[in-house]
Amino acid sequence: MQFISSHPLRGICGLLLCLACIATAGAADYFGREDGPSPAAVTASATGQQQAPGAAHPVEPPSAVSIPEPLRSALAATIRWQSALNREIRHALARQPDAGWGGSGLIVLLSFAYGVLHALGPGHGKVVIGSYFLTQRARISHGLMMSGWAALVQALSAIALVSVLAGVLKISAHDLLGHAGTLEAVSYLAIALYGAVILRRLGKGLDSCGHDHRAGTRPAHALVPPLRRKPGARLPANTFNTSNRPNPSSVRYALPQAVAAPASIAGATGSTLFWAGASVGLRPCAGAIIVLLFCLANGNYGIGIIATLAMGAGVALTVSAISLGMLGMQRTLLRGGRGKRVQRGIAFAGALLIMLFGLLQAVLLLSGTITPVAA
Amino acid sequence: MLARIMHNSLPILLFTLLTAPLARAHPHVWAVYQTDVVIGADGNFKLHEAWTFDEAFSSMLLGDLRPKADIKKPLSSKEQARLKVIAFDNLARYGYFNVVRGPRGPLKFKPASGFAARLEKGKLSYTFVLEPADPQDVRKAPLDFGIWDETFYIAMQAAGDDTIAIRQSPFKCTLATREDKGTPLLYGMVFPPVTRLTCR
Repeated sequence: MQFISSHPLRGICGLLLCLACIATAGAADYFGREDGPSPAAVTASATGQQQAPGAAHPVEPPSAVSIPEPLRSALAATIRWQSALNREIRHALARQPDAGWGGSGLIVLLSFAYGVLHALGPGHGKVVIGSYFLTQRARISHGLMMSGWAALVQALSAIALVSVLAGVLKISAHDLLGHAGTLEAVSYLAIALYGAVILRRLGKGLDSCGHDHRAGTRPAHALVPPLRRKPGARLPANTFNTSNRPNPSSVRYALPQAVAAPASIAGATGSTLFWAGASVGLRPCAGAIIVLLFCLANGNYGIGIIATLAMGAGVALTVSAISLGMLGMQRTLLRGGRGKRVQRGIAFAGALLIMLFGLLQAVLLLSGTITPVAA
Repeated sequence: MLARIMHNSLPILLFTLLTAPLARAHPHVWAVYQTDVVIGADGNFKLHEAWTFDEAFSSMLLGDLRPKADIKKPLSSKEQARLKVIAFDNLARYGYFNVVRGPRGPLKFKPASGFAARLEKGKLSYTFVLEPADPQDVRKAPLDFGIWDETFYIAMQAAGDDTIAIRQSPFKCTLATREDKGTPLLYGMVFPPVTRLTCR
């Protein structure tokens, strides 16, 4: 536990990555379905529905959660737009070598738009990042940073996988998607661990990012804590004094928040955001992998990488907006002057949710109840 | 502290269970399908299907088939046979994503026959024939036809407005297409089209 508290996810992430490398690939077929005939497994497919062996008809998935109406129609439209955009991107990539700079610019724009839409649908990153910002004390800049970093990790994860496994090692796309699927399990374990770390910090009376928020205690955090901070309100004298970096010019606490903000990114907060984003983004997007493989075969891998990063930028935009929305919702809900106890209860609930979500997904994947596929 | 955690955990556990499948849904592969129904004199039917995949997915499959994913060279019969093994036969376990509902519920199919694959303008197409495991009589009751992947990893899109077209029928048949509200895909973001075939 001492290890965990001093270096939250560092060592274990390394361990998990090793696990990902040695784990067997190829659990899913090209259609994201469980591969190979094993009669025992036929009864439960990806969504857990019952299926008879042989050429059975797929039974509809149970609709446990259904999206309420105005939102549903809007999201349904995004699916149609995604199809249209995807068609355009793949056409454009197919003729890109002849299309020149104009064609490349178009691909980047389309990829960005695709990323924005792609991230609007349900996804694991939004469950984790959304829960975090709905329940934990955090700042707007943290929401932006964690979302952007997670999206960047996700893009880099796809680029690294394809570059190394397909570009250098020349393994098949089938096995490559299998490795991407393994990263999914690793990602969920890391998410569960992250939830556990937050829980532990909260249990010790610290903030989710490892800061001490109890009133009157010594060196406080750099996070400006109040949920309802009014301009001109008096801040505690130690607000901008970081615990792990004694600031000789502590008179700066009187400066506006923007000046003090960079200091807060250092240390525990930075590391928390770093590992949270990394664990969420570790699982690459199958769409990005397919497009990268396409570009690799097509002789325009460079534009594939740029398109993947553009897609990531689009995802970052959407996820940032969602995390800010969640942060706003939390602040609105807690506006009624409800006290620290409520806030702490909510923080516990959120951390528990993140941990259970990661654990449940990892258990479902590792037990073979659901087939690992890239996101 | 512990009591509070315990108190919080139950609703959270429920919420987690409900949101768990949310993480696993996005379209990544797009395919356009064209299904022709051929009805025999006995009233039984066969489905002649053609699926066309997008360029990137086609290229990825070819990359595993050929050392260099050359999308211009036609597929040899050997390559088609290999493709069937690596990227088609497994779909039998999922009913080839075909859904046909009769009065007594969804039908089962025999393994697909007549599989062929070809390349056209950088896109890979599959053609194959599906036949119900138990012979049907289309005159007895209307049948609903649709094709979808309920995980939505692959987005199946009908080539036309209807999910099926009647290629051959000794009877007078009509088609009526609607959104299947009973099948919410992606948590209701998508309702797949189903086409009702009524013959007399």
